Amino acid sequence: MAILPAAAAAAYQSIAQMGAGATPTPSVAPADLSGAGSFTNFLTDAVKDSIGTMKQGEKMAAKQVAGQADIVDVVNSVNAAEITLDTVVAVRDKVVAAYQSIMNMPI
Amino acid sequence: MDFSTSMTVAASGMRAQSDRMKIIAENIANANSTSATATGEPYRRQIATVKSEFDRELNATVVQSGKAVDDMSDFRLQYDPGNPAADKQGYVKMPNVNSLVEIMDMREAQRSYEADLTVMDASKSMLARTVDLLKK
Repeated sequence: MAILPAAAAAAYQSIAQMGAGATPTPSVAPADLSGAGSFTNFLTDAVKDSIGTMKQGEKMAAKQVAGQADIVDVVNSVNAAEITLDTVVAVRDKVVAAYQSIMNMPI
Repeated sequence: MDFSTSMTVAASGMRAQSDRMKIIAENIANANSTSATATGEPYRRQIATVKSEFDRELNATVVQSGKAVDDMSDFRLQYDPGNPAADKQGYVKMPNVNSLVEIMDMREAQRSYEADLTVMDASKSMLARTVDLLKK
């Protein structure tokens, strides 16, 4: 079945208007994002933490180039950054895989 | 994380050993440094010290290099009347550095550093293998 672009645009517009007309009804808000212990929170914290570790590694590398840091500290920081990045990438892959398996569920 | 703690402790050991190497290098480099005058003293051998210290933030005992102390043993006397640092009898005070001892100290520092490297390598690979579980 071929769908005309114009028809699709019209359908999209009508849905958008429906949403705009029904302002009092709360839109689909993610449930309690600020709640402690939520999964979102956990992810945000983990990502923030890993970004901090990566930045520390970068900073130490820059210091070493400038001749201000010990090579051992640089190795330690870069190692920590590498492991953190590895962990974050693995967790992200897992989350994306879970999301995809939900999206592929036949409804 | 625990593995990063052990890596930091190993890094502190490596830092302490490199400080020790610095002292040993100073001793070897100055093995023939005499004083410019007859009354002065030649280079005095330094002894590197390390001490353990509890790091509250890390919750682990790390190694720290302490202040180098002077080796108070006697200076070697060498007969060299032409030297400006020679005394009335023609003897020059030479530093109390024994290069054999320094070489042995250097070996020890080297081995210690290698041991710390091995600890670092092992803890890193343990951590990496654990993260690999996530990837499946």
